[in-house]
Amino acid sequence: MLGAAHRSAAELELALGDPLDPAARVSLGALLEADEREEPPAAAFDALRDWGFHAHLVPEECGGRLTSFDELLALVRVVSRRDLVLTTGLGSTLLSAIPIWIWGSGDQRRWLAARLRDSGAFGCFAVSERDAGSDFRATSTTAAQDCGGYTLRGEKWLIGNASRCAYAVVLARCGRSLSLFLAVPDELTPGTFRRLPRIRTVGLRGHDLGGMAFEGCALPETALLEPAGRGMEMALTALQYTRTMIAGMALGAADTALRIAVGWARTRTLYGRPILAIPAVRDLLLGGFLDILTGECVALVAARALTLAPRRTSLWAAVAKYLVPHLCERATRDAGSVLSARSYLREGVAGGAFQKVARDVAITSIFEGTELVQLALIASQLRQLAAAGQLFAPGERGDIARLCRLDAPAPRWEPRATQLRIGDPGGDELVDCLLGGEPDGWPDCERPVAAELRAHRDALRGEALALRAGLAARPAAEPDLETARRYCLVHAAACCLEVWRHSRGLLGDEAAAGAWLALCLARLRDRLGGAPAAPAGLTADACAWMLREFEDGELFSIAPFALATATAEESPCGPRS
Amino acid sequence: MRTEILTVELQAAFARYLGVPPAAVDANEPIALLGLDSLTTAQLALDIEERVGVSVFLNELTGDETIAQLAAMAAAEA
Repeated sequence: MLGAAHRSAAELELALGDPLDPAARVSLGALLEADEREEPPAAAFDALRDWGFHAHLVPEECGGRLTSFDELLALVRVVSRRDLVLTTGLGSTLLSAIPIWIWGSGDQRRWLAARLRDSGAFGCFAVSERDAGSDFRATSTTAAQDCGGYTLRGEKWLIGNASRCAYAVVLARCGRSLSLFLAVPDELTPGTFRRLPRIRTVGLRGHDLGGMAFEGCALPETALLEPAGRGMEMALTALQYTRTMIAGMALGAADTALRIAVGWARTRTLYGRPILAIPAVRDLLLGGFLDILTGECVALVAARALTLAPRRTSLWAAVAKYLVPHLCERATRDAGSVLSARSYLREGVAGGAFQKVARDVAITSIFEGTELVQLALIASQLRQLAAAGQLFAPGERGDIARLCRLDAPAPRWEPRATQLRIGDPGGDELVDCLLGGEPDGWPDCERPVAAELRAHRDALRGEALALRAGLAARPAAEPDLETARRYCLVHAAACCLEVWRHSRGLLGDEAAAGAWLALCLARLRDRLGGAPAAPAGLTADACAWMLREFEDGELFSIAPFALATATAEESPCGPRS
Repeated sequence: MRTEILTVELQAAFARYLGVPPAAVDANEPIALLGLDSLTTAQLALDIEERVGVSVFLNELTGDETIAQLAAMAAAEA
């Protein structure tokens, strides 16, 4: 990772210590024990509080340290490579804080900033209901307006931090429309509010997932977030921020899965040699590495767009939420194939951490809108773009260099300036770049890489043209999820290409050389329906880079990011079998 | 008069999302039959508020309403 945006992540990484070191402040061993007991990892949450993580959930203008979302994305990756239970708890807190930062009153903002900064409080986004899932309009919780306030009735279910939250943002029907309300459990009349029992899950066993029942619960008039009647739109807008951060969660988890598998493959000997020498094993590991790099480029662009190109984020947050967990879950499964029987053990390699990562990462494609929900959101917006003639056509183009040049952090977030926007993204300048001719300043790289990149770019341009033609032909058709999926892959290819083009001079030699990029594009093309086999030289180069990052204790990333090293003598991230 | 102006504005907004000329949007057809999905309809409602300054909560309607009826309701609320 690069530049000022990643300084705080580097500090946090060092403060938490090497997760495979039992003596570290936050160790996988201790996290696994909490998971076995199905308890929240309290000491790890304390470590994050002590470090000051909660200040990064409070915007600067409210006295916190949340500046740009690329900075927060880096922090999320660092925590998630240890335990998704931590970032899930913090993510629900952020999601319920965002509506207050954007639409809350001065008093509400001051109160919340103090609760987060001073006591590291948890928040709850109380939107989901048993019978309303992703269909917000089916919300049955009501807020009846009476003299001087509102009376809440109804039940919220499958909501994070339900039993430990200090505040909840509640979606409720008020008159004819839906609104958001800030509820503070400590201030509610006893007997009118109940926290429901914790819900047991496959993964995230230490997460506080539950529900709340409001039984004639009185809220003051000031609990309403203005404008009234726009609760659904507010919720959908707030989700764009956290859906982008979920990409960072998936990337962090996949890093740990791949790290465990690479460490194992280097030392595990079968048929007289380390299994890393077996082509099928190497291909699985390299594939995971490349998918992490692709996911990283998509996530970085989406996170930077939150403040650089906010109009695009209704679309790009959905793309990041769909594609990055999808890729990272695949990378984790493939790491499991390399670990083979060891992947199924709750002991052994890395103390049995892999099975926990594999169970936990599965949430990333489910919560805050499943893959189908994201693809439907994308399909709808692609049709909007097609109808408005903005589909990959130069319109009000954002500054691609600013989006994709990683040394300068994105501008800081100004919550008060955030507009309700749930669709109508206006365009996709990344895909526009693909549709254009060969870009100016196409970097000169080694001949085999350059030839591969040109060939892939031409083929992907053809895909983008086909998407545009298909959408233009059917502007009012039913949501076409396959078209949405293909668009995500083309957008991802454009992200990889443009991040590489604009940041190449800032990257290390292996990343700058571009073999990884050619291979990432080949994998994306393969998912679009076939790509020619990659030259062996490129595969060897990318594999050598992956192993070098592993051996040097760096995050699997296009940019160097040093991980905390163990105090013990053994290799920092090697397997413990 | 206010209703007529709002009708034209609403037709223009629907037309933009449907990718057709405003004249092709029938103000007397139920909005559910115009061919917009729910997300697009909700974004459209936000745009209408921005452009026209009246809150039309399309998400609470049944879909049987026509643009002409919406304009009359919005004019009455304004």
